[in-house]
Amino acid sequence: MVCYDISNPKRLRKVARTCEDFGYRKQFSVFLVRVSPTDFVRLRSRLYDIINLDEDQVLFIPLTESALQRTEAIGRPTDAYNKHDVVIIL
Amino acid sequence: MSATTDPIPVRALNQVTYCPRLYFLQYVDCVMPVNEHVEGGLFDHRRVDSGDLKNKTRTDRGTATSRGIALSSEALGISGILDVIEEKNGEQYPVETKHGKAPHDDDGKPTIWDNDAVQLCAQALLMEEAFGQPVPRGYQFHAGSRERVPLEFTDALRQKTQAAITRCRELQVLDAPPEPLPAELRHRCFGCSLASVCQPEEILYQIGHPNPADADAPSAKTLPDVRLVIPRSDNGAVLYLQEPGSSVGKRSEHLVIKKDGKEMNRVPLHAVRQVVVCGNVQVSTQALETMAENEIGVSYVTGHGRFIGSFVPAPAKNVSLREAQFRKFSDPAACLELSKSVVRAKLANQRTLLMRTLRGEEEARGSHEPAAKGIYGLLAGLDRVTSVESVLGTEGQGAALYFGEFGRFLKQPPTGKGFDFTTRNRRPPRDPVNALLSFAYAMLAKDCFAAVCTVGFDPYKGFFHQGRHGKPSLALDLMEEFRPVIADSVVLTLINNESLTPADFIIWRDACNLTDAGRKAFFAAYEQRKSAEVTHPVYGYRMSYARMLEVQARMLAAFVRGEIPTYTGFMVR
Repeated sequence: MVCYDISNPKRLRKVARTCEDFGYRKQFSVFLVRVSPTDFVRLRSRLYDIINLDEDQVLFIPLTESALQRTEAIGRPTDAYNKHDVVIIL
Repeated sequence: MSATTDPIPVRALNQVTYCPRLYFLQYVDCVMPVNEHVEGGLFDHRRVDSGDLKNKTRTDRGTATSRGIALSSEALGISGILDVIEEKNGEQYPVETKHGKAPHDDDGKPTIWDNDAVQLCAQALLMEEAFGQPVPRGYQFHAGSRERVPLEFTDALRQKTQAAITRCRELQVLDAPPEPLPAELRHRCFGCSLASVCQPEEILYQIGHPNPADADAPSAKTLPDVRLVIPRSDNGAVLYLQEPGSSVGKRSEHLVIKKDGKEMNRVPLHAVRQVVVCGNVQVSTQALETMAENEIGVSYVTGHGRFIGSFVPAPAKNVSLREAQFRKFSDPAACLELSKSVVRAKLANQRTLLMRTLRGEEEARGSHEPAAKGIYGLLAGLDRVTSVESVLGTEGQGAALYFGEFGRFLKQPPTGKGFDFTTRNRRPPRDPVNALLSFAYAMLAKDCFAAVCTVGFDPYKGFFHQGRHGKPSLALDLMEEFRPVIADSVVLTLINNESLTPADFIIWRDACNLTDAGRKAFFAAYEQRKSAEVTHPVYGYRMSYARMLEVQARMLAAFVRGEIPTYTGFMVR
């Protein structure tokens, strides 16, 4: 899971777009990202170069499979979490 | 300038010292996969690589620093871009950044890996020639442990560097990559980004381990101190696009799928491995371009499941493999051997599937079935066959026996009439089961096509299905052994689990087709099957069927280039 707190709207947009390149938006500044170790390094280094290290923060929270299974939401519905992420049919 | 006089990149000297096979694959075959370590290295180098700092010298407290200096030498036959050259008190020295941590010697002092030392020394040689003054030492910065380690360029090291250059020249003219590292150096393979291409264990198994100590234990599995290098199986989803009238564009690095001007979905490209376009879906040029950059293949399939073609990222630059392929596949003896291996695996897999599904109450194994016995007889006869035509004949007899019983594989639901199967028919398939089989084979052909292209084969020159006009023969050859275990198995699962009902089919005139909903269920089941993990019968570790396709294609490549003596088809246990 990737969460962020960005103080500048320009950087905020860049960070949001980069996160969308790697994962799915869960809330305004919360993304669920399922990536290989390679893509994780890629995502982290891109964000590192975008943010202002003094003012902004991006939080990477590793989630285990069981933690994801126990995720729940109240209020607006959220997409069901799909474990077998092998096929997307549209 | 020819390939043999091209300057060798300094980086390559590092690789050749680490593992000659790694050098060959990267610089002669031009395969460069990226893993987390490579990506991390790029991140550490971004200061050096960024354009605005290139060739600019900055002076800070008496040290002049220049970054990204390109140097080359005709005399040495090498070239390179130096990360950093520093100048202090009139002395110049190269500084190289490495992603990893510094190794420590027995006294606990940080040192340098041998292969990195060779690279740094080569940089010094370049500097000596370019600037005309001796470079006695250099530094290596280990970003992982933030340590800067000095290195003296001794005569021994200089000789070693020269030897590495000579070794590169020797390797360049070879037709096939050198053998993988022996077992005692196997630790180097862990974390190597090429492990999935190089397949050290599999090759060593096939050539019989050269180490005499394990002459009676050819598989690395039996050596307790050697761990298997198991490449991460390729992950990522397969994206199927089948909604008529939708269009796919890209924004930044994710795909945006729209229909009637409304955004339907966003998919990050990094989560996708392959895209299958089924029917009337528009994919924009920009999206195609980005997918090619990310090495995502796009396959086009008709609504009926016929495979039309693929948009493949720049094909593997593996000319020597293609040359070897044409040579080998024009040799009747080699074709016969390969055809036998493939048909043997196919028949064995058909027999296994038959015995599994027809397992009766009284007979635990199903080997009493006449068809199973018949196929067993064919397998025994296959060894005596002397021409590719008779192999084809044997395959046909096997198929007749197998499809003769196929109808009995289908479980009939207690309610109403389920599916019937009497004979295999196609072009067009006339009943639901045949339609499903055709569809499954088309999907499998598409994946085999992608696999042989990734490895660098020409998909149209096969060894078994020869000279069929316009057919990707090699893809079809590779597919044979997987037909029963992937395609037929998916069809049976769909029908026997009642995921599909007769209502999911449309019969129009003579042809039978899947409905949209039926296709969805089919794609899901097919991908599920491909991600199922099985133990490879020969190499003995678990991998997904999707990865297995590529492994078999790579082993075929190794056979074609003469790295291994035989090709073994995949057989389920």
